[in-house]
Amino acid sequence: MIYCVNIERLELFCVFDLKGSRTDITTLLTKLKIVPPETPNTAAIFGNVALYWIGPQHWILRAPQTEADALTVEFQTSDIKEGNTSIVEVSDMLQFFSIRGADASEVIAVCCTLDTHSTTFPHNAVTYTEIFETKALLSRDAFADGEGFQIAVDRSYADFIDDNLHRILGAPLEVNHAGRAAEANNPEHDNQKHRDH
Amino acid sequence: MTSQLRRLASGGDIDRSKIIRYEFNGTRYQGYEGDTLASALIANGVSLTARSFKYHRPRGIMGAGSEEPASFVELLDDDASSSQPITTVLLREGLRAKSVSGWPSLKYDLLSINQLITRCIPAGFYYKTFKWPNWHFFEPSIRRIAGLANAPKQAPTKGQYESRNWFCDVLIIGAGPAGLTSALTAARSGARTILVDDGTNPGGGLLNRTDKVNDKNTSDWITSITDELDSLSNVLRLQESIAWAYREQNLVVVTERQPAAELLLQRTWRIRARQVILACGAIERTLVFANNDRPGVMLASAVQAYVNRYAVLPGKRAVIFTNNDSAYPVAVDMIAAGIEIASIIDSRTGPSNAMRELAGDIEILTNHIVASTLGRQRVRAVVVQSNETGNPRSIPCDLLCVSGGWNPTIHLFSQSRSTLRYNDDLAAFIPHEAVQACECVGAAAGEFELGQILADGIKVGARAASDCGFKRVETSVPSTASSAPYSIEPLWQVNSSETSANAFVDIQNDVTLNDVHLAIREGFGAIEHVKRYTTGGMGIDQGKTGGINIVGAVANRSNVALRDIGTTTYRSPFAPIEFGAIAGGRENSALLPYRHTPMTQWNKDFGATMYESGARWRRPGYYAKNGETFQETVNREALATRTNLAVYDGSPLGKFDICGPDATKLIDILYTNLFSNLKVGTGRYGMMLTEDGRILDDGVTVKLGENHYLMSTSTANAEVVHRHIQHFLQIERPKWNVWITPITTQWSNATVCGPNAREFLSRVESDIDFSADEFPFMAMREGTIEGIEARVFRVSFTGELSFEINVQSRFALKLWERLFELGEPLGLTPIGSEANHVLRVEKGFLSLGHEVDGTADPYDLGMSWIMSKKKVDYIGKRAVEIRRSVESPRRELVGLLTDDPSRLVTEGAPLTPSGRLEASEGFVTASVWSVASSRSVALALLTNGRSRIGQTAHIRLKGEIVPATITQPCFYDADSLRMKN
Repeated sequence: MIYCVNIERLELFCVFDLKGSRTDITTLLTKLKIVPPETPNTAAIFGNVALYWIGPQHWILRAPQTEADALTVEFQTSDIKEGNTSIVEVSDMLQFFSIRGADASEVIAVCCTLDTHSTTFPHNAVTYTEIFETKALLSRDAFADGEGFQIAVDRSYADFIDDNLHRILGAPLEVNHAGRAAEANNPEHDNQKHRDH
Repeated sequence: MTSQLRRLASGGDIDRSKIIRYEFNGTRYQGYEGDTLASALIANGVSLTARSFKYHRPRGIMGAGSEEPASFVELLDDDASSSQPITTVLLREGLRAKSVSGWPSLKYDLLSINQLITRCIPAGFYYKTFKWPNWHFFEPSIRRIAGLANAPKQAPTKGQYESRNWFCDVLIIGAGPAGLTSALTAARSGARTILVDDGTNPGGGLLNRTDKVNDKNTSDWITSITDELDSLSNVLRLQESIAWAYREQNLVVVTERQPAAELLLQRTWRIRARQVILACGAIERTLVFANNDRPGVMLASAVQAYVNRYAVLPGKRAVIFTNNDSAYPVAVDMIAAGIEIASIIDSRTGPSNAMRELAGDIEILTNHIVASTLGRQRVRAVVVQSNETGNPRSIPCDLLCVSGGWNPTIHLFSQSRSTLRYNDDLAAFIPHEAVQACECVGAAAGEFELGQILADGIKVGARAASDCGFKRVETSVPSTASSAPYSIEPLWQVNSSETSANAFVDIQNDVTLNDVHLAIREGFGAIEHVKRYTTGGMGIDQGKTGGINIVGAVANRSNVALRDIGTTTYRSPFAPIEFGAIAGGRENSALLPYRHTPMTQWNKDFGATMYESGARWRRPGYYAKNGETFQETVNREALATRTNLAVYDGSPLGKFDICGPDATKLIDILYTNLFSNLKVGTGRYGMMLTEDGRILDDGVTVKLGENHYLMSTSTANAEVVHRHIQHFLQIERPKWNVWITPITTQWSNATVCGPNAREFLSRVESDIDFSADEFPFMAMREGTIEGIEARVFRVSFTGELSFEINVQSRFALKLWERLFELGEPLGLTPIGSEANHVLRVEKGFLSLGHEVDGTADPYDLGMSWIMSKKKVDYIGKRAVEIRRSVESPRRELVGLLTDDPSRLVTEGAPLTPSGRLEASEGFVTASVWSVASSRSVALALLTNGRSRIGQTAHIRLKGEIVPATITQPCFYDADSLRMKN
């Protein structure tokens, strides 16, 4: 292995995409005792729950899957006036990966164009960026002791990201896109093009 | 195996305890660790190492680094590479290399016959000759004859390439004296500092000379600097790394040739720096005289490097030809190593007293030139001539050291789009004005005195760190012996009767002074034209040693000052870079992103042929069973859908959650048709236009709540639509209170379709009533299916009764497998994109990229019904109206039935009037075998198509014209009764 890291595909989390004014979001989360972070592109951690401030009037709330029902009920019964906020569950959309170990920064440098030096990307930093040229949420791994990062990508890209992360380590996975072996010289394939539907 | 008869008994920066065995052109030799292939061959007395590109003249080694213009090699076996300068190949055990030209051997090259026909093949000969019957008839042979290596046939078997992104405050290129002091000063201030150097060891030119710094050997001083740098956590030092590109916004690309990690072949660093210091040194240039390319003619600085650094003797008896002072210390080093100096030929009227003193007893012929060299495969004598009398005289020698002056290495500075200016004192182009945050220092800035270089390095390093906001830390200037200022009198070409013939200005590409004069005569006198016409400066060496000689030759011939001619544009890469290093890890399955659904693996296991079907999604095209042809498979799948029961994975369809008090307003302005009257729990098919009235996308949007919608888009356009909506909200309606959240992969779907779909779903465990009365077309129902919470939409892309079952993606595979468990006995058939394509063509449903080609509007597609007359405004409305207010023929969607019902035509084929070879009047957008009609059917966009229904159109294929009857663009269930059921 080229780098000393441990790469793990994490379990499904309960994730909510929250949009609205800071005041409304603060009110929404009050009973859960979660306070939005003060600085943009940072995370606030409350036990095993994380709240990421990732855009103007845009937060991501991440909790263990076991909290899903409780959070759903809490949001449905909140005092916020309907229409003031957008609360959308996106648990299935995001696949989280953790990259932990002494060489975690080196691995991130290969897959991401962001400067993740501690002076520019501190311990509680979080941001959308690109990992292997796909949109991804990047944060320091607040739940790890020592060096580590977490990335979250659209679930549909998870296999691609896993493939690339292991290539960085010099241990590529067996990947077969094609399913049934494509008959490369089959003239019947000539008419195939992307069929959008 | 030959012995190293030209190796000095001691000295050099090589490890004599590590003997390395290697092979060159099939002969085995020995060298030491620390050698390059060039130094090792010189040590073994090898002087003939190449044949030239065009004339196949014998060539030897001229330089000591990437400036090498004469000898290139191809590496073999696992090191396989294309042309590499022989001077940059590090010796390693088992290395096998061969010269890139010379057949059957270097010594007896049959193609040296080209030297007899040089008058027939000057620069640009291929513009005038080899025309009949066709240039391409001759091209392969000419390319084979040319001296270039073959590209490796396969990728390296061991290791991989890597590309990474890095950032710093101060990036220093070059670890010579200026670079080292700059780096130290910047690093001590606390700035994130990166020092890049292309040599095996830091030190730059100091490694080749015998200077002293702080009264110590330079090697000790260099070690003290690098030890301190390596101890600082804010410093990254990259050795054997070439900075080859300087891009916008201070992005510098560096390739590390020998990364420490065993599994890595090379690593490319894309470094974004706040400040860049270019301490790249300077490159010595050759002199232009007849036969200045013979083996044994070498750059004076290269000889110094071989003698001091590699402890080898490039010759026994040497002549030095120079126009500047820098060659004199070289003579001293050569004598100390045991090389006899026959004479110093100085073209100037007189060198300084300091140089005369340095030369000691060596004969100095001032105001003389070397007119030519004698010898065949090695120099055996030079012909010198007085500038006053012109009397020639022959001096026997086996080595000619030439020094035409020094060119600051300004390539990266120029790549950064900064400007250069000509300096008369140095007779060279030097940096003028920087346009990015960079500064040149040392020899790269035109300073050649060591003491000043060291002081400047400290100053520039401090300035760079300060510009990044770091406090200056005092660094003392190291002491050196003072030296006489650099002095030169430019000599762009030697004027003698022999000069033009075989006087090379670009040694690699065999470009002579005659070729430059020819270019000017033929009207290609601008320097960029001279470059391209003669190919001077276009070789692997990029004209490092001869480029300015070309400028000088043009200046002399045209009677124009060099400053007014300027240089050609310097382009990356600065030195040859492997393609693998540029690509990094982007290869094979990782070349392009790919996307999977929860059912992807199931599809692969079931035998689906998968390919990309928009927005990087890998989707099943078809599921061939044993022995089936492609068409048989598609027919079977389409027929199953039309007559029984089918299912497909519709997960990749774009989906967006839209909510907020202004959500309905947004939906209404995005779509051409009315949505504000939609009831909760129902959906509507809608069309979206761009601002200029072209079709952007289509899809079904469902009303989930009063101000809450679920919008679906096409698969490929999901991100485009998202950007379109965000742009509208952020720019046009920033005060609107509405949020949009992508949820494409939150929900996956299995779309069950076919006349038996309802009956099948009634057997599935569910609390949803699928009956026609309770679940009408375009309705949405929420409930559970097999215990999984689901949203089901009655929409149809196939034209059959269809239920799109959406569940959270974590349950999708479970649902899919359960459906198959229940449905397989009923003949449930998975279908892919190909069958879907057939089914939608039969119905005349539009598809992006086919009927929606970027020019069509809804009226063209016969969809005037979707352009609301009630809405005051929607995006694209005005553009469509303006376009249609000008009466001009429009291409309209029609159906085509070929006269021969079995005849399929190529999608995209043009339609022309009567099939004639003239401007097309339309094209075929889709052509399929219709299972419903048992014949071929096609859709097309045809000028005034709707008014021509019943007439014949002509499809023009290569070598064939296919007539077809123009019909309505729907071949199946025109009233959509089956779909709406």
